[in-house]
Amino acid sequence: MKIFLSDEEIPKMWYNILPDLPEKLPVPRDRDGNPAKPEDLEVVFAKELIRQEFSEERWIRIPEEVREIYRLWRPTPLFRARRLENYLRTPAKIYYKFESISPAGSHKPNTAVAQAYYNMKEGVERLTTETGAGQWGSALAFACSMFGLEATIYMVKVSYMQKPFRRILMELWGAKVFPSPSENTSFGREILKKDPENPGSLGIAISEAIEDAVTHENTKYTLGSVLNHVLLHQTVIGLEAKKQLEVLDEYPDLIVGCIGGGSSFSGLFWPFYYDKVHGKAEKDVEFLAVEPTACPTITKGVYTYDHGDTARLTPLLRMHTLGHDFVPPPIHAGGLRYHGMAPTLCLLANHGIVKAKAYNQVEVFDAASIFVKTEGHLPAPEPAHAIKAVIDEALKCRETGESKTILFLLCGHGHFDMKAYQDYLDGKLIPYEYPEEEVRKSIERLKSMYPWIS
Amino acid sequence: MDILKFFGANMKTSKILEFLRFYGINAIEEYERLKTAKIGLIVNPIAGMGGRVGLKGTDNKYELALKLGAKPVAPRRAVEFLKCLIKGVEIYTYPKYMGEYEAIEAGFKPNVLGEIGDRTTAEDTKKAARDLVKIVDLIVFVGGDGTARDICEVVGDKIPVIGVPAGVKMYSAVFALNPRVCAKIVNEFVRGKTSLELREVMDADESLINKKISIKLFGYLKVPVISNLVQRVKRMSSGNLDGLVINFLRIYDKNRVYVFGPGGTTYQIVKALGLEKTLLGVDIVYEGRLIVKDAKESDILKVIDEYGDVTIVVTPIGGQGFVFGRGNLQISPEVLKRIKKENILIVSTTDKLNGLDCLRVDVDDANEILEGEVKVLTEVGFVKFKIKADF
Repeated sequence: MKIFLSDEEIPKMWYNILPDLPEKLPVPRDRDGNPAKPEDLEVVFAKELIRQEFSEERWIRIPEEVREIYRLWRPTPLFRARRLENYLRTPAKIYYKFESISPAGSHKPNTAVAQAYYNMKEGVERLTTETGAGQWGSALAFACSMFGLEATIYMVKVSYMQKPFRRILMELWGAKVFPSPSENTSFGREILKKDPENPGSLGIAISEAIEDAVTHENTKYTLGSVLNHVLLHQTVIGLEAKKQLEVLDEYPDLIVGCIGGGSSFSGLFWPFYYDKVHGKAEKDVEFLAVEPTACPTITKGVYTYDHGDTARLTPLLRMHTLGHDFVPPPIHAGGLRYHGMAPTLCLLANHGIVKAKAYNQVEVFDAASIFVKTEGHLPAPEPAHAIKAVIDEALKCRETGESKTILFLLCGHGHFDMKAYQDYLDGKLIPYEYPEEEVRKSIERLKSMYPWIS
Repeated sequence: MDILKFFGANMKTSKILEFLRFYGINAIEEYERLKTAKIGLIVNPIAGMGGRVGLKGTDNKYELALKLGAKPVAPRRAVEFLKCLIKGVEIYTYPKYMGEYEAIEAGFKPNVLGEIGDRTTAEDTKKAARDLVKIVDLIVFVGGDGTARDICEVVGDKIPVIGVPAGVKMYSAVFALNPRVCAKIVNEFVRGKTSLELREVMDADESLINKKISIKLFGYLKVPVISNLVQRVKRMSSGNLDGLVINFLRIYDKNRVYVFGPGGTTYQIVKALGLEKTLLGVDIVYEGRLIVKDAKESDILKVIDEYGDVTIVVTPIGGQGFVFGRGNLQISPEVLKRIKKENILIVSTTDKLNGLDCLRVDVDDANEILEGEVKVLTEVGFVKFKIKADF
């Protein structure tokens, strides 16, 4: 069973959570402790996006031109996973919002289109960004092609070499894709001079994309996660899902999503959080974020001050951290080992409003395999984490006899992740666990350096 | 660090990167690390020399090792390591064969600190560590357990340390599998892609060696790791040793010469023959007699000359999987080149094998002879296993 909405029902406003947070979000500061000035950011971000980043407005109008592009695939369907329910013999009702049908195959175009639009409106001609395996890069390449902008994508070199298919997709949309580190920027050249074999990393690609934007006229930079404006663009997901559930006279007891930087899950649950805060929720809905045990930022990390660099010169930031010297192992759900995390999500988790659970990749792929066999759709390894949590909840319902309504986000398809599935079928996946002891030690070191940390 | 200075005309980029740090995105750090990575290098030039001549360590036995014909091992391994290292890093080291010569040979322009005499001692290692710990991001030492101990005493967990294996005894969990792998790990460290783990520094009590293996935990070093590319601490193996001994006796040929490598497993086998073997030494058995106890490389070569066909019996080091190149350097590449592969008998309990993904060798140009599939004798008979030299 699936629920479609008409084109007219594409939301007209995005929801912004900032005015409804239980406490004010700390302000980003520079190395001297001064609050970030919007004009500093204007060098790389469109003015309207910076305005949205710090906006206290609860509802932000979606430009008609953006809705027009959204129409190519939105509203996305809401499915009831009947066959999965039957397979699990659970009294729970499982619904999923299906973002895989976007041109790029994931939720990412929801913000890429908005970002490209505002930049185009402000006279920008070219956008730069970084991409790992290519999810975000392809979303931006698509969005730029819609508004006649050029796109320059810095793709982590090792992915550029090993995962050519998303690169080809980006190039079909007209983007220029460079393996990073590249010869395009002084940053890249400097690294190649010192280390010609450098396989690249998201950090280096980010630096190159920013430098490219800063040093060229009419060029701006875009980011696909963690920033508030990115998260709020994603709320079209949750707003539509709410409407679709209304049609069925349903309201979720539990909302589940995977978290890397936190944008897809925020897009799903924020509108329901709005209901909760404003006394409009029909039920006491719970929010469950799912992450990999290999990079368990919320479940095992500590909400404390962390400093961004080994030289300890960055002003301390309050967020969930596994300690700054932690490097997550190479799991297949690349999107979930993102080193950034949305500050809003950290804050809500610290208040107990968002709960978190972690699973290892073997159990996650087991869950994905059940899903493929029952529902037919192939999930990307990232949302397969959410599927695992949903299956566990549904099985719990079988024991208790509860008929919970569970809503989760299938944020992207796994058609470009065949290597991961192949490794799974060949039994080559390692069930990485991040030892709590390591986090404890890392935090102890932090505390010994900053005795005032609680 | 001065990122702002580096960016020069590019202050704006720097501001944006600082802003992104608020969201947990640390782009500067990687570049910064690569830009200024300072690697400290400490070579213990005499490490490993005692190995081929049957000494269990070279500390305080340098003269003896020389007299027995030992040749330096560590400088060669240090150069091998340095040649695979990212050229952009700065090397800080101590004079002459403690790192300076090796770094120059590998094409670096090292910053040389301190002074040393003609012959290096444990004190020099400690002095070098003391000087380097204040300057560098990571210390790489080339040596064995003794060197690891000296460095651990001074450095503790102040900065990360990793070892290039070059000693006779390497029970500590702080060594990379070989020099090339060590360079790979250091390169990834420079790129910000390793995590740090506190790893054990172990040392065998040399005075007790021939009676009972007494391996003590000496302390911890903070070691950069990429999954299983740093050797784990040696695991004391258990398992069905009796069954293995019985299976060995079934194929034992009294009229052959057997060269038994070190370890508890071979010790028990030889004991079943009614003989008392050394625990950490190589012993040679023929016609029910122990013809050479604690043999050196030259003894083994002599026996091969004399008897032609001999069988070498070795057991993998628990948890690490090394069958040659660790703890039995007497069975040198020269020895291995003169033995037929089918005359190497690897014995192990299935328990010990279960803890390993492959068997490993690290014996220079003899590696290629050994690589590939082998049959390992266990308590359940022969099982197939892979030997790898390239990690």
